[in-house]
Amino acid sequence: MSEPRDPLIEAIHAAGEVPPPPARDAAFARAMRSVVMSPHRRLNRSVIALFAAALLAVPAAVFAERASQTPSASISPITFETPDPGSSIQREADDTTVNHEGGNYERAGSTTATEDRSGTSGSIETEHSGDGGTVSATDGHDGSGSGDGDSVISTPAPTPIPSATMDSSGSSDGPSPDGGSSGSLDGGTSGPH
Amino acid sequence: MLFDRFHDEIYRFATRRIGDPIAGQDAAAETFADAFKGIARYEQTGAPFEAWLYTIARRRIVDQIRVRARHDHAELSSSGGSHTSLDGHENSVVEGLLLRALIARLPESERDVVELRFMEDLDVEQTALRLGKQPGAVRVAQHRALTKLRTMMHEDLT
Repeated sequence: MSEPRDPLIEAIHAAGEVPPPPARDAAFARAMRSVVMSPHRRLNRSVIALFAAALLAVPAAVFAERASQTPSASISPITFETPDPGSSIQREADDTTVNHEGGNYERAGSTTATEDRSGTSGSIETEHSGDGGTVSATDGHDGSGSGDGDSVISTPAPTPIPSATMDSSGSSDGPSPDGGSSGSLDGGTSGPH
Repeated sequence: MLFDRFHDEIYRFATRRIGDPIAGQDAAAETFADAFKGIARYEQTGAPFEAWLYTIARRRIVDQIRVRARHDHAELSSSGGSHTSLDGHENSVVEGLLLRALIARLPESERDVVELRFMEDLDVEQTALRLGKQPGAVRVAQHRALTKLRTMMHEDLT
């Protein structure tokens, strides 16, 4: 120190007095401990982080499992329920329009066994008419009399018609072409028999 | 060895800044621990080793001061804010504490110069090497610091 010591500098020097440092070995061990402890601290932090992640993962897994096990909204197929007799809901049988169309269809199916064999079955029977002409002939007349226009569609037009039957059909089945055809067939076939 | 050469100096530097020898030991230990871990970085930069070491020491000192501030705040809260009386201390101790308080009010660059030059008894070149400055800058800072301290002491007395 080249500068002369004044009272202020002396006071500063005195104020800078500190307790003596610890022994070198102890201080060095302390510093080295700080170096060595750092990875342990990092390890502890990572272990804590893993533990926390596991704690968070457990509820998440439980939630996911529950979400997978809960049945989804099941869509049951629409089934026909028996109507309540006291309810005002109109049944299908009560519906006139449905009854009209369905009735024809049902009749077409049922009439094969019962009375009305006019349209559809008439044509069939015309094919069989060759076997038994009398029965089918009467049926053909009944069918023509009922005059079911719907059965006209189902009657096969291209059935081979003998020319002789045309005469008889003309007399009987004037008004309905269907019945005429069926009748003529029956009559025609029955004629040769 | 690096540790043998600089440990006591760093310890005193830290203890003066913090005001606690135990915290000064902690700061010195952490300083050298950081230096051991980061010695590769120092070799790459090529800066003076003393300046690099003191830079680390300042960071660790700030950490210790923060720890002590939290601890002191907790103690103050638990004790209800009671303060210890300094009546029994000697006048020199009171003057020393007063002077340290005044030095603490200096800018850090001037404070470093005062501590290294007059407390650690280093010459201008050694001080410049540790602070990473030129010797002329150290002299200027020393002059300004002493002037400010005298002014502050005069204001406190009057």
